[in-house]
Formats: sequence, C-alpha cells, structure tokens
Amino acid sequence: MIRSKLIQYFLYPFIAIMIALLIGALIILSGGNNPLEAYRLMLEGSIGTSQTLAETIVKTASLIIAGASYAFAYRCGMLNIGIEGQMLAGAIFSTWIGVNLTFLPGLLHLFIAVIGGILAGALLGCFIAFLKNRFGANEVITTVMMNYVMLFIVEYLVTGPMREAPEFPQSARVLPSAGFPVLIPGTRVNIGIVLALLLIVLYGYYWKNSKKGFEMRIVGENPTVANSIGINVKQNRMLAFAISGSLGGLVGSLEILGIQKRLLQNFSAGYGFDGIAVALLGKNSPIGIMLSSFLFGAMKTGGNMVQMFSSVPSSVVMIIQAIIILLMAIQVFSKKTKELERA
Amino acid sequence: MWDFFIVIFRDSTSILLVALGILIMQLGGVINIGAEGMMLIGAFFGILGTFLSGYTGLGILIALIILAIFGFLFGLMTIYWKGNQVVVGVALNLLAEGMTTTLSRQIFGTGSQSTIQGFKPIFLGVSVMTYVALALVLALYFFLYHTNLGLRIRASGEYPIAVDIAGIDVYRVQLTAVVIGAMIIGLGGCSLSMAHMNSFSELMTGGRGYIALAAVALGQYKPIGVLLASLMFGASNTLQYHLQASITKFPAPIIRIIPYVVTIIAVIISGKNSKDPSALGKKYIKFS
Repeated sequence: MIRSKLIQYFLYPFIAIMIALLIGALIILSGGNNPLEAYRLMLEGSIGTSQTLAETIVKTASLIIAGASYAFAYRCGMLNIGIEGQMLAGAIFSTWIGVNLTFLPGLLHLFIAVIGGILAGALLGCFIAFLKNRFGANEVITTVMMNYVMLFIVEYLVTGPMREAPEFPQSARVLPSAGFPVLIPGTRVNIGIVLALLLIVLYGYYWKNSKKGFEMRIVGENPTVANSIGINVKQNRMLAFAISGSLGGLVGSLEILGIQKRLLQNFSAGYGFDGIAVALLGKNSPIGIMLSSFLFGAMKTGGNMVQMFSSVPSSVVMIIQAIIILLMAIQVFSKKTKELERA
Repeated sequence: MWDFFIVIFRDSTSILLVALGILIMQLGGVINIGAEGMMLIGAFFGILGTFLSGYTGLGILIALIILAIFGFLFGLMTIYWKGNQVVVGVALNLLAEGMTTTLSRQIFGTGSQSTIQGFKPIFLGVSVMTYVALALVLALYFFLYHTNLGLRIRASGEYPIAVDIAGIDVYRVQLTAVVIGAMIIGLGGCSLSMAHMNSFSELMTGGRGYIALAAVALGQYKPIGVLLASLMFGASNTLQYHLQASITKFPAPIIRIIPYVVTIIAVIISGKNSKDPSALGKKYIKFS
C-alpha cells in the first residue's frame, strides 16, 4: 500500500520529469546548442547562488498559490483556465489601492490592497460560475476569453487612465506602505512565501478534514449523486470557483505588491498556466503542489538565465512543462485507469 | 458593400477551417481544447515548410503531415491511454506555444519574421483558402451525413456502445476523426499565416482556436451552422479593425476586446440549448 503510493507520488512524476528533460535536450540539440551546458546553466541559474535561490523562492510562492487555485476548482469538477485573467484583475485592484488610497496607515494599507486583489479575482470567478450555472456556458471557453479581455483592459489602463508618465506604458509605483515586507534583506523574498505555505496547509486541511470540502469532492466526482443526496451542486460550484478565483487574484496582488511594485503591460510571467502544470504534477495534494512549485519556480528562473547566457530561448522550459503535464495526464505507466475522472 | 463581404470572408476563413476540424473531432466524442495549439503548429510549419522547400504547396503538405502526427498522438493519449481530454488539450496548447516559439527563434531569430509569399488573392479578391474552406463545408456535410464513416463518427460521439455492439472498433473510428480534424485545423493555421498574414509571428493565433470552439457550439454542430457562426465571428473581427481605424478617439485596447466578448455571449446563447454530442468528453472503454 505504502509502496504503491510511493510509486504513484514520486516514481511516476520523476520518470515524467526525466523524459521531459530528455525531449527538451533533443530540441536544444536540434537548435545547435549543447543541452548539457544549457541544463547546467539552468541549475546554476536557479539554485546555484543565494541570489538565484531567492528568485526561485519568490516564484515558488506565486506558483503554490496558482497551483492551489487550479486544484481547488478541479477537485470540484471544474477547470479554471482563467487564473491568468483573475490574476490580472487582482493586480489592477491592488495597484489602484496601493497607489491611490494614501491615507491608510502602514499594514492596513497592505491588508486592504491584498483584500482588493482577492475580491477582484473572486468576483471574476463568481461571474464564470454564474455563466456556467445559469446558462450552461462551458467554463473553459469563458475563462480563456476573460483572459484576453483582462489583458486588453490592463493594456488600456496602463496606456490610459492609470498611466504615470507619457513615456512608458506603466502605472505609478505603489506606496511603500502597501508593499509586501521583505523577509530576507537584499533579496526580493517577501512574506509571500509564508503566506503561500500557510495557504497550502489550509488547503490540505480543507479537502481532507472539513465537511464542506467533502461535499465539494462529491460534487466534483459525480454531480448527479451529489444532487440526489441533497447537496446543492450549483452553490458548491459557485463557492469553489470564487475561492479558486480569489487565489488567482491573490497571485496578482503578490506579483504587484511584492515584486513589480507597479502595473505593467506584460508583467505576468504566465503563472496562471503554470498553476495548471503545478497542480497536475503535484496530483492536487498539498505537498505535491509545494514540491512541484519549487521545481517549476527553479525551471522558470533557470530558463531566464539560460536565455541570457546562451542562444537557447527560455520557451524551452514551456516544452518541458507541457510534456510533464502530458505524461502525468495519460498515466501510461499506471495500471489503474479506472479512476473517476470527468472531462 | 461587396468589399465589406470580402473582408469578412477573409477574416473568417481561418476560424471556419479550424471550426470544421473541431466539428468532426467533437462529433466523434473528443473535446478539442488543443485546437489553438494545433492551429499555431499549422501556422508555423506551413511557413517553415514553404521557407525550406520554396513551394507554398509543399509547405502546406508538410504542415498537414506534422498535424496528422500531432492528431495521432492526441488521439492516442485521449482515446487509447485515457488521458483527460481537456487536460491533454491544455498541455498541447502549452507545447505548441513553447515549440513554435523556440523553433522560430532558433530558425528565424528573435523579432525578425520570415515573410513568405503566400496565396495571393486570385478570385474576386479572396484567397484560394477561402474557397477551399467553403468547399470543405459542403464536403464535410456530405461526409458526415452521407457516408458510412461519417455515420460511424457521429454515432461514436453520440452513443459509442451501439457502435461497439455493431462490431465496429470505436477507438479506431474516433482516432480517424481526430486525425482528419487535426489536419483540417492545421489547414486553418496555414490559411492564417500564409493567406491572411504572409508571415509567422509568435502566438499569432491569439485565441482563434478557442473562438472556433465557440463557433462549433453556436453552429449547433451542423456544417452550415458552423459556417454562419464563423462568418459572425469574422464579422466581429472586421468590425473591430474598422472601429480601430475610424474612431481614433476611443482607446484601441477596448475595441480589441469586441471579438472576445462576442464569443462569451455566443457561448452563453449556445449553452442554453446545447447540441453537444451525448458522449462528448466521456472516456469510453471498449468491451473487447
């Protein structure tokens, strides 16, 4: 029993990662570059020095929250492909509060700015769930479309109403009082990582021990059964998507208040889509999400380093991630494919 | 007025082709969220093939072969290996994004695009691709409703058990639908990069694959319906360009939202009386 769990949670992901790295190596090779050199750069550029390790930790924090966001909706039987959009919504609100509500004192300012971001994400999530509940609108299409809509709204804001100076398409800087306090001086590591770890523990508790979590799991596995035993499917879906969206919004707040400090046109590093990968690789378990977030954070940081110091583009990391998701999704190694799953 | 229609047809062609590809797959019971990625791959390899071989036709052929391989893999992973169709589709999009970006930077360099002499407009101001797409609407109608394989595909999406009991290999029928569909989607990608734009740029599909998904649902899974829905989306795109050019006072990013909002509205409308095949997205396990 323990052995089979060990195989399922560690051996398969390990094999998937190895195969993905191998295919990545072939692609790097086909571009005329040395894959070993690229991977060495990636390793060094992600955990090699204290400075790069700090960057990896910063990214890990955002990834953990994004992963929890995807996993939350997934466990309730829905696919939130719109974390990216919810993140942008959160970023907009956090920036606005961080820049404009100058009268708030210190930590209260930060608190309100974060809450604003979370609410924006939650609102967007509720909107998607409402469309699904009321009209049967497929949430995959609506969330993807909302991603584009939010992207253009950000573009509009930073080139219009929220623009600071006519030279650059960016907003004003958020006040220091609304910034996430730095945890390790000299780096960008802020209390975001503490928040992320706290949230993932809560996430684990919710799905394992709480009554509501159990209800949502039934809705996710079989809505018909849930309905027949008196569980309100629509209400649970709404709640799950609201929480998923609010976590997405929180990633946006963290990104603005902790790292970028201002709204930029293309500030997103694609955490919304990485969140999906992280949740899949981690099999939606809290520890799995944590470990895979660290791995993906390291790959992201390392990928940038590879791009900087060699002619290998950082988009190679995307290929490796995609292959990991594919291998985890098909579970070709696993004998048990009868696991209850919906599309 | 005639010019306006021509522009609409030009803008709709790629969406129409992709939607037809999705149509045949989804009628076979396989959800294709990966259409965006397949389209991007088609757009890239069409250009790359033309760039390497020097012939437009050869470029398209190469794109179609690559797409057939990707379609085969997609079918293998979802139908035979029982991967969650939506998850595999999302991963395929990510893979396509990474692959085309990496390869185009390695081959064409960053920023610089390869300009390819694509299909020049030949008849009444519309490229050959548009006529191919319109011909495919009729061909697909005939294929789906008047051939054996078409019936089998539709039955596999609607009630796979019946197909299985009749002694037909459901998996193989679905795989065929997926491979054909992927190739048509690839053609849509080619039409975007070669007939519409004449070059490949990173992430040039810009959500058209998802818009095509909405077009299939809005077109109620009928080839003619899909045609009308695609024209509607093409028109919303045309409108967006026109507004951007004519109303300079209004901020451009807000105007660019139009096609996406139209898509959301379309999903809302088509969601209410959905004509989705009954077994769409469900994993079917054969008896034998």
